[in-house]
Order: sequence, then structure tokens, then C-alpha cells
Amino acid sequence: MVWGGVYILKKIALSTIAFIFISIIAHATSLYDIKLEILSSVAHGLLGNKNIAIYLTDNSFIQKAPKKKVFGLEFVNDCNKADLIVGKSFKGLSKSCLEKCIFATNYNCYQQPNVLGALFWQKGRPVLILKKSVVEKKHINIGHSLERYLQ
Amino acid sequence: MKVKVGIFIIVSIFLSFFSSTVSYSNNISSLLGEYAQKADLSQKTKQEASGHLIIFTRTDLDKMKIKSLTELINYIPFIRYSENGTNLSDITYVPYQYGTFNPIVVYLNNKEITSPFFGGGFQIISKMDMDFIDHIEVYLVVPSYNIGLHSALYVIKLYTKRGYRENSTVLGSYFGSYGTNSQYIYNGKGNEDFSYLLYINHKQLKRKKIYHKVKKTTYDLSRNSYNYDIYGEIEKNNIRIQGLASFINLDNFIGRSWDITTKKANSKFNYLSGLLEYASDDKSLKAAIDYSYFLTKSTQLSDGPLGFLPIPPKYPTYNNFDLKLKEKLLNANIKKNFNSKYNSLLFGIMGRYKKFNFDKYKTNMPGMGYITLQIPGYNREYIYNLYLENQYMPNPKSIFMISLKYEKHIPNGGIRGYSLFGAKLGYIHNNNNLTFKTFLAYKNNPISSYVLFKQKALGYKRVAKSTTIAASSEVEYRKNSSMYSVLLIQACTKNYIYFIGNYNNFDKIFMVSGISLKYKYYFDVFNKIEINGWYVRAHNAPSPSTVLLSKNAKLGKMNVNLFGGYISIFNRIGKFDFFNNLSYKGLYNDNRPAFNLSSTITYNPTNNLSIYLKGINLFNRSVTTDYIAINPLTNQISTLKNIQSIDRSIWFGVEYTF
Repeated sequence: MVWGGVYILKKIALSTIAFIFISIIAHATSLYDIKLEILSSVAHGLLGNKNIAIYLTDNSFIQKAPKKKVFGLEFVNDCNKADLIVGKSFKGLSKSCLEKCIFATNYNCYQQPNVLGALFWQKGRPVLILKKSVVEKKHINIGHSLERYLQ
Repeated sequence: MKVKVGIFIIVSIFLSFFSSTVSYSNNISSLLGEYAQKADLSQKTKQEASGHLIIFTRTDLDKMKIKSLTELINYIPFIRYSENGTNLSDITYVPYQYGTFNPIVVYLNNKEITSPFFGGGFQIISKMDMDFIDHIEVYLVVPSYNIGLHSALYVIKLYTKRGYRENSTVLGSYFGSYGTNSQYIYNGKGNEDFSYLLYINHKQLKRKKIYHKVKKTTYDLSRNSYNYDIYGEIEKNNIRIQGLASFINLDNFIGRSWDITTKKANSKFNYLSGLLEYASDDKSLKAAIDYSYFLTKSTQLSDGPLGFLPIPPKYPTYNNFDLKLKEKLLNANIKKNFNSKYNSLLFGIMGRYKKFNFDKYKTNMPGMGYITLQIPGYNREYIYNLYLENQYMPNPKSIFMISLKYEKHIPNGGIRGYSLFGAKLGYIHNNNNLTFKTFLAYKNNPISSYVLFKQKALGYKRVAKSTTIAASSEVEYRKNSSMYSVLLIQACTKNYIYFIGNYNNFDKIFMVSGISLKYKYYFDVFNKIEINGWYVRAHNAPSPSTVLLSKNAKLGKMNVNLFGGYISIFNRIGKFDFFNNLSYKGLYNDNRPAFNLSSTITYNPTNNLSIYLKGINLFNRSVTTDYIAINPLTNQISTLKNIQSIDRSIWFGVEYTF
């Protein structure tokens, strides 16, 4: 009985340490890294656990695309080579690129019919939304972590 | 009521402590929370080098459901919230003192909110609902001129929500104790190149009634207020325009009654203001012009006297008056930053014109009819201001700064003009874990037009400007998820202005010393705890009330000790947000210590809907104030003791986004 209590206390202590450690890691991250991590989580949740090629239409969300692969993302300069297209405007994209998975980073673009999802500010906080109709149309099996963002 | 309050307290505290140990969220949700924190608008506006800074972020304000600045004072060290006898917020109020010193200057974005005649902006905006405010920065102890040009110990900067961060329409309402209710709507849209925000609010703040019995008559002293506020802003590239219209109907509590026999005391304030500002692409050149119009209509009626006519030898008293005061203020400023690798020089000029007119100031005297009360010729003032501030950064971790300011006040009506001089030295060291700031400031304080006007109207000599020297140092140490800070302040004021029948300069040096200790711990992005403790001692404070009460003709001095502190816990568990705060304030003299428990539970069933329950002063033991009224012709004193400035209240609110 006593040992059971000690075991539970140890578990709680270890969980607390792990929890604080995770918090520390989280707090040490820069805004730039957080944006990349969010993009990575969304991209991998949508397209699976492979290396994903991203094409940025502008620098509104990620100010400078990393040259090296980070968080399983590779940034490409040609939208035809991309798995996911990200930006606040998609004017000027070729027809073939417009048929790819498109993720918007502002509120207005989210309304466009071919946009799969968006991350934008609403009521002062970042909102992530994925369009169920587009997800189903593109036969995407989204990850469990993204299910709550389907609309 | 007591049972409900008890259940509310227990449930709220239990859930909040419980959640601090078991709360968790999935990875993307945590990342979004962290993104919101790191990209908070305060990260763009805060100026760490400009003073000792306290920030209330959008997330904090959302969880706290702070509805007005009067609540926020509870979380700022060295002060306590109180109201004067006319129901206006006044943190320096001590019995019988009215607005001699305005230690708080309030800005709405970059527009100073101020009454040209009375001088205080805090009083205008303190009870206004703040649902259009994104975040608040509080700069302590004479901040940099880059923050606020006017001498103040505290500068509160209210930053409004930005359309491009809203992209929605929000409809909200809350109601609660004593019949208080509020309804508001705001709409904001756009992107960083063009955005707009429009906010409309109606609020009825109903307060606990105070009854005062004199002989066989009981007087009902009301502190209710009604607000209609409209705020709008448009931001396009380098230009920003903002406008605020506020219509306030305020019951004036005791008013100016000499014996607390107030039958009617009410004021209506119409405040209209607009700001047009320009910032160059690199923000090195900024220019702004703003205008304010303030109309006050006040009516008072008392069984006893409210004032007297300067007609010797009888000096007949009057027990009613009507006044209509118009105030106008035009302000223009331009500032330019010259930046080099190691140096940043800010140079600015400002011009201000203020005008005030009593369109009506009359009393109805029995047997004499309506008599217009004496108004001196003083009704306008020009102010010119020149300032520069240099920051030298020999390395990325250190900043040395020096600031200089010269200000000239030119009043009319035969009142002699005066100049104000200010200077400030500072050093800041900052590395990943540690920030050290130290400042030494010298400043002459302006004399409010109200004080100049009253002295002239009553035929007393003009008071001299007061001068303050303030020194402050702060160390902040951050390690992992913890933050520790210590702030020390020392300020002394020469020629402090006080009121005892008329305004006078105090002949002793009034000194204030204080220390504030703060600890913060972040469990994660949604859960944190804050602990703050502070102590402030005022040496040689003028004590007019003790003079009045002891009927001793000589002004005394007193030492005042004030303790304060709080514990705040912010939590999230599932779709619930919790905020709990227990604050303590130990006061001077015979006022009982104050324990203020405030709690807010917010339930967010969907992204669009938010329902909350908020309790303020749940122990019914907030800071109390004594009020003293005196009849100067008979020396008869009337008192009203232990009045709470913050009522015990519970509010229920709903907010819907579409």
C-alpha cells in the first residue's frame, strides 16, 4: 500500500519534470520557429509523414524560407514541384499549381473555393480551419490531430 | 447571496488549482497558443527601454474579463483605486483633497486623453468599457518622452484592437449586481495595408447605494453612471485615423455639499476626440494632430450650503448651482529619429492650445433669483514643448540614455506663464536571462488649469509649480519558465500642492519610497501564476484632513505606509478558462486592510461563443475611503467613513462572434 503511494508520487514527480521540461523547450522557441512548426504540423497532418515540399507565394507568413530542410519541410521555388502551396494570394499561379493543395495565411483568401485550409487571425487569436468539402474532394486522409479543425 | 458567492469562490478556486496540474492540450493547439503569445500586438508596441513596464496582453485581458481601468489599478504596484467625493476615479484621493496632482496619464493608442481644464485623463476613461482594447501597457516612474510627453508617474497606454487581427463582428453583453448591464458590438476587418475597426457600447454601471442620515433626513448618495461610447479607426499604409465619442452621465455621490446633505448631484460629459497620424515607412518620422472637445453639464442641489458668494460682510451661501463648461484642445507634434549603428537620437516638438469656457455657472438664490457666479478672465492656455532623447548602444546588451525636455505654458487672463524643465538619465543592460534598468529623472509638474482658475476666482495667490526627482532601479531575472523581478523607487517632491480652503504649496519635502517584488511561473502557454508584493512609504505627506479634524490651524505632516500584493492564477482546462486573483492592501490610519478576491470562469463551447461568470470583491473587503466635508463658515465637519470604491459584484456575460 505504502509502496503503491510512493510509486504514484514518483510518477507524478516524473510527469511534472517532463511537463516543465516541455514547457522550457516551448518557451525557448522563436516566433519564426513556431510558424515553421505550425506549418509542419499542418502539412504532415494533411499529407502524411514524409518530407513535404512547400511553395510560398509570398513572405507574409514565413518571412524568409529556410534553405535547408527543417521540421520535415523543404521549400521549393517552383510551385509545380510543391506538395503544398502556402500564401495570402494565389493570383498568377498556373492551372496545374492551382489544382494542388493550397493553404491560405489570411482571412480573405480562405473564402476561395480551391483553398484547402487557412491559418488567419480572428478575434485577436490565430484560427486554423480546414475545409471538409475540399479535404473530401481531394481524398485526403487527415491525421487525428487535425480532425477538430475540420469545418 | 452569501451562499452563491461561497459556492462560486470554492468551485472557481478548486477548478483552477486542479487544472494547473492536469491540464493538457494537443500539439497544434499548444503551438497556436504559443503563436498567439509570441505574435501578440504588445510585442510590436512595447518599448522596454522607455521605463519600467507592466503588460496586460490580449490573452490576459480575455481571461480576466477586465471591463474597465478601475479594475486594472488592482494589479499595479504602489497605488490603490479610490474615488473622490464627486464619484470620479482618483488614485491619490485622501479626504478633502480634489485633483491637485494627476499621477496617471492615459493614452488611447497615441492620443493623450485629457481634460484641458481639470487635467486628468484617467477620470474620463476609467469607467469606460474596454472591449475594444487589445492590450495595455503601464509604464511606471516617469517614463521616456517617447512614451508620453506629460509629466506623470504612471503612463497607461491603451492599444485598441486592430481590424486585421479581428476579421469578425463581435456582439456581447453582460449584466449583474445592482442591475449593471452592458451591450456592445464591434466589427473589424482588413489586412496590414488597410484595416478598420468600429465599436459601439452602451453601459449602465449601477452601484451599491450609500445612505447618509443627518438628523431625521436620510440622503441617498448615488454613484451610478451611464456610458455611450463609439470608437472608430481606419489604418491605411502610413496613415491612421481614430475617433472616440463618449457620452457619460455620472451621479456625483456627495458632490460639493459642505455637510453631506446632497439631494441631487449629476454631471453629463460629452467627450469627442479625433487623431490623425502619419509614420514614415521606416517609422523614423512621425507626425500627429489631434483635437478634443469636452462638454460638461453639472447640476447640484443640497439641503445645506454648496458654496458662498464673495459679497461681504455676510457672504451669503447658496445650495444649488448649474454649470456648463466647454473645453477644447488642439495638439500637434512631430518627432524624428536619427539612427546610426550605435546611436539613436529622437528629436520632437509639440504645440498645444487649450480653451475652456463656462457658458453657464449660476445659482438660484432665495429672494435674489438667478445669480451668475464669478468667473475670472482666464480661459485659455498655449503650451509649447521641445524634447530630445539620445540612446547610445555600445554593444547589443547595453543602452545609455539621456533625455531633456523644455515646456512653456502661456495662460491668459493675467496669470503669469511658467516653464517646465525635465531631464532623465538611464542605463539598461539586457541579456538572455537578465534585464537591469536604472533611471534618474527630474521634472517640474504642470499646474492644472482648475487650480489656477480656482485660485484666481477666489482671489488667492497663485501656487508655485511642484518639482519631483525620482530614481528607480529594476532587475528582472528569467530562468526556464520562471521570471523574478525587483523594482525599487524613490521620489521626492518639493512644493507639493494641497487643498485646504484654497490651494497651497507644502513647505516640506514630500518623499515616497517603495519596493515591489514579482514572480511569474508559466506552467505552459495557457497556465501561469503571478505573485506580487509591494511596500510604499510616504514621508512628510501633507495632512489637511487631520488639521480639519483636530481644528488645528497649522498644517501637519504624516507618514503613510501602504502594503499591497496579489496572487493571480490563469488556467485553462478543456473549454474552460479560469482567472483567480487574491489581492491584499494594508492601508494607513484606521482603515481596515483590504482583501479582494476576483474570479472569472469563461466557457467557450465553440470558437464563436463565449460565456462567462465574473466576481469582483467577493469577500466584500476592498479598499475603503473616508470622506470629509467642511462648512468653512461654521467649521462644522461632516464625515462619511469606510466607503468601498469597488463594490462586491457578480456579472454574467455572453459574447458571440460571427
